[in-house]
Amino acid sequence: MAETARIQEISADGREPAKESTDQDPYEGPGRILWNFLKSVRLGVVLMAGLAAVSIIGTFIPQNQPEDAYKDAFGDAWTRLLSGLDLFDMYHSSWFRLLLALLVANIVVCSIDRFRAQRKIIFTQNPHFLPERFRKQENRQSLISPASPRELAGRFAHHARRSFSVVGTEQRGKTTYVYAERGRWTRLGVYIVHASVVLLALGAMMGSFFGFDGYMKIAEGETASQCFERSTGKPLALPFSVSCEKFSVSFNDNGSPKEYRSSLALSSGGRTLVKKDVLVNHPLRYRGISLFQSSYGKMPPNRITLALTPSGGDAPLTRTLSVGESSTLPGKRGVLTLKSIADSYAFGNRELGETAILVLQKPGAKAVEVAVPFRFPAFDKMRRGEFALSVKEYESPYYTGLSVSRDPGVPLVYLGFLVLIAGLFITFFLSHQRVLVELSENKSGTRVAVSGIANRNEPGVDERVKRIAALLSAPAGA
Amino acid sequence: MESSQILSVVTFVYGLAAALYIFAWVFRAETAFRFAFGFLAAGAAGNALGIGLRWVESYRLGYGHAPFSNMYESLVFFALTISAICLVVVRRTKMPALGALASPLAFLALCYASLSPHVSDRIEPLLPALKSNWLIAHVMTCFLGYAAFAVGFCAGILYLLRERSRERRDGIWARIPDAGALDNLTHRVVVFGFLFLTIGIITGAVWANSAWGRYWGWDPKETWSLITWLFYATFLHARLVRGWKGSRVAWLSSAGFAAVIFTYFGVNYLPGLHSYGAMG
Repeated sequence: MAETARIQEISADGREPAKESTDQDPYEGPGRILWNFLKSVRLGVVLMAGLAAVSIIGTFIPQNQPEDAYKDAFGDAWTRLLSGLDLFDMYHSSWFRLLLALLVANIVVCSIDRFRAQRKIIFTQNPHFLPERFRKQENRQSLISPASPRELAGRFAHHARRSFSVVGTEQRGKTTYVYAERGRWTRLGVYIVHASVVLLALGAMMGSFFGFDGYMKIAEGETASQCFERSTGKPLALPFSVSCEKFSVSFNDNGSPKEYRSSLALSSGGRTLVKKDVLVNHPLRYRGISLFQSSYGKMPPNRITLALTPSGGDAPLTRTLSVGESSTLPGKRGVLTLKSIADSYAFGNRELGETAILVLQKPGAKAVEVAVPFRFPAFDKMRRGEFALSVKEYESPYYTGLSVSRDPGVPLVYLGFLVLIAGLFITFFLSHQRVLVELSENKSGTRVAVSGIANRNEPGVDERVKRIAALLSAPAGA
Repeated sequence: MESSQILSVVTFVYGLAAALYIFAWVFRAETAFRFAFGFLAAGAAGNALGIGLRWVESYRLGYGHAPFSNMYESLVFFALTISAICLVVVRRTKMPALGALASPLAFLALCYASLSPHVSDRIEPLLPALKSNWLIAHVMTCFLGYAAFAVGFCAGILYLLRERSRERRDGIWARIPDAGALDNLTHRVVVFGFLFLTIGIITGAVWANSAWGRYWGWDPKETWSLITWLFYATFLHARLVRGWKGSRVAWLSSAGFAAVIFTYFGVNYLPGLHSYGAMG
């Protein structure tokens, strides 16, 4: 009895007990030392403040930039130092993860430790009350009623059964005590919040161990069955192939993009599994893998139309070629093959940009490689061949940039989100309220005193006390 | 009348309400206090009307989106949330001093929205990434949180002013509310703000997951919202578990609002943000 009452006394004012569990293990091994280190609230406060402080660094140093960008900005020596501290990818560094893990461990240990001390209070079968504590409350209301203590006790108990979960009456000497309480379970709120953080941590870990985050580029009309991991660039095989049947982009009047749309088809073993238009905010999800519209662009041209201008001044011929395709020229002037299309082409120290590389094979002669820059139609005249080649038209298809990811931790994370919101609501907006009505008979009637204790949100219980006092001061039978 | 005209009038009304609150505080004028409340309430109603009208106008322009898409619209909504929370708190606590500190914030937010050359009040079509139903839930919860922290900042400042002027029990110093009431108010608005910031971050994460397939990407804005969240989580633990009270809590509440402001505005000035590759 004395033990329970003491614990109740500590916790009843809403502050959690400052000293932790009473059932201390005398054993002082390394496990106990670690436990005692991890259970301290001070550690939690320091870790949260510390994580907030170090997180600032990564918002001022842009993360995951190419190394040259860092060298330009900070110089070689600083780049080496900052890179050694993992500050260019700090949120994924081992030291940052260690801090997060330490915080989660702290939350778990601290919660278990406090829960052990509070368990008896939260799950008690017969709550105790200390009249002295109730008497000290500022919300105490006193009145004299002509009704008998019995009648008043019945009136209050009848009222309390509706809005309180526990109601008890006790006679001590000449005084009748009617005790009522509600919301004892809301003391669990803080453990619910802490459990949600653990759920979030587990979800995040599941995502990083069993999920992936990749990207892929598919040209319009093409099919691909692998993506590349975002952090490492490593290729990852997908359990299906993705075809981009069409990509379109539309713009608003002011030139800003209005909509990106990729018409995708997933297939496996020649069978189409699913078809969908993917837009930003409207991904395609299939068997746990999600494809998101993330970027777009133009592919290098893969098909060009060449103008062949005879040196004699005759009318030019045209030939349309895809990469690898050949065309026989009239009059035994050989076979022209489009070998490749290069992004850049250096001529002396000049950069000529996109250039078609062709091979001209005349019968009985050595094959000649011919470079035809897109932007310089007169360039090939310098070769002084039978034909001067120039690029008349070229087709460059759109490609769609897709984010491809699988994160099996998401359901756990979302559950954590819901639990977090519920837990915060319980912790901050609900409270454990206890009301004590003291009834003692004297000459002029019954002396009534009502007071209430809440572990938080005191105005709520003050209001209740006022209502109960009004109920008990009403004339009998009202 | 167009929404921008209404909002210009609202700016003026907020200014008047702020002036009346300051007057009511300095001269202990009960009438001015009541009028200030009336003007602030009228301003908030006009502010809400302006937002509603802007919503309608965007449909008329053929874009049809909630007015939460750019800096101007967010500032206008921020002003509304500040004045709404200020109204509730002033009505409950009857503190003219708090109105005198908080209502100017709503006024300043609208002034900045209409006067800054960097903030355009044109209604623009939505970028593809913003076309989501999460936009409304995300913006509303975040700004309710920000506004609660703004009022917590005001209560913290008042507490610190009170501490500074402990010996001077005359003039306006005598009319700073009771320390216990301010301490309690700071805690209550911070708790409210913390719940809404949490929901704001969560709706943002769910939205990010549906738009980009990642619920968290350590983008500077996300990171700063987490920094703010961790800061207030520390605040709550310091108060509830370690028993911090009074001026230490008031300092924390004021400093926390600096983190909120940085999350809101400062992030836009960080180097290399969103334009990856461009180093500042």
